Amino acid sequence: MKREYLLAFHSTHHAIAGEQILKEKDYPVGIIPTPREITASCGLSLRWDAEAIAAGKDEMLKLLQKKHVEWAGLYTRCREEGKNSLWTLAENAEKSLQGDDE
Amino acid sequence: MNSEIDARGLQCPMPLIKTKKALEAIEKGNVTAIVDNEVAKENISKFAKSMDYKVTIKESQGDFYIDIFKEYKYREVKMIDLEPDSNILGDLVVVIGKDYLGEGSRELGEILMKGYLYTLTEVQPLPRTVIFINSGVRLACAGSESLDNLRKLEEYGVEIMSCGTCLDYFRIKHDLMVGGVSNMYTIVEAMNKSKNTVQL
Repeated sequence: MKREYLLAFHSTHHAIAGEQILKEKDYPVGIIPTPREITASCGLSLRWDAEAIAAGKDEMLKLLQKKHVEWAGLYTRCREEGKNSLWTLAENAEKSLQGDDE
Repeated sequence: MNSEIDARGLQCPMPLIKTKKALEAIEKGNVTAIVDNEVAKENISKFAKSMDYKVTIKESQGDFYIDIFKEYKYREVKMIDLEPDSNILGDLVVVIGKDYLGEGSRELGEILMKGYLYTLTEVQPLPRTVIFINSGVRLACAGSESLDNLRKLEEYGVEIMSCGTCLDYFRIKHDLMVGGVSNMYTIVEAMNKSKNTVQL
C-alpha cells in the first residue's frame, strides 16, 4: 500500500511559487489540478509520494512557511493495485489511521 | 527503513518504551528489538501484535530477537476500486500540438499541460492513443516533468506516439523517453479511424 500527500493552496501564485521553491531544493513534488473531492483550493496543488519525502515533510512545510507561501490544507490518500482511497485531510486521516493507538 | 534496538540489560519498561519510540518514528519498516528476558519479550510482542504489526521472534544464545514489521494502517479508509484495464480505453485520440495548454500565459499553460497529463491518468475512460506533434513532442522527451504520467498511461494500455519529423526538427530524436516514433500516415490513420479526436 502506497501513500501520497497533497498540499492545496488558496492562490495559484502561491502554488506556483511553492513548486519553484521546493524544486530548487530537489523535493520530488509535482503540481497537479486539485482533485474534485477537495474544494478548499484555487485549483492547483502539489503532490508527492509519502516515501519519497517521509522524514523531510515537516521541514519542507516549514520552508514554505519561511518563504511566506500559504497553503489551504494537507491531504493524504492511499493507493494499492487497482484501488485508491479518497483524499482526506491529513490530520483527520492520521487520527483515524492511528485509531486507538495510545 | 530498518532499525535495531538493543535493549539487553535494560530494566522494564525501558525495552518496550524504546521499541515503541522506534516504531513511532517510522511510517513503515522493520524494527528489531533485542532483549534478554522473557518478560520484555512478552511485553514487546504483545504490544506489537495489538498494533497489528507483523512479529517474528528468534532466540539465540538466551537473547530474543523480535522482528517487528510496521505497515501503514488504513483502518476506516475506504478503498475505491478502479475498473480493470481492458475496459477503460475510450474510442478517443488526443492530439497534443504544443507543450503548453491554452493561450494567454505561457507559464500557466505549461502548468496546465502538466496538470492535464496527470489528470489523464486519473480519469476514465482513457484515450486509446495520445499523439504529440510540433513542440508537444518535448513532453515525451528527457527533461519533461510529465514522463512518469506518460509511462503510467502506457502501462494502462494507452498508445503514445511522437511525430518523427518534429523530433528531428527540434533535434531531440535521441531524447525521446516514452512511447514510439511515428509518421504522418500513422497519425492521420489513428485520427481518422477514431470516432472522437481531441486536439490540444
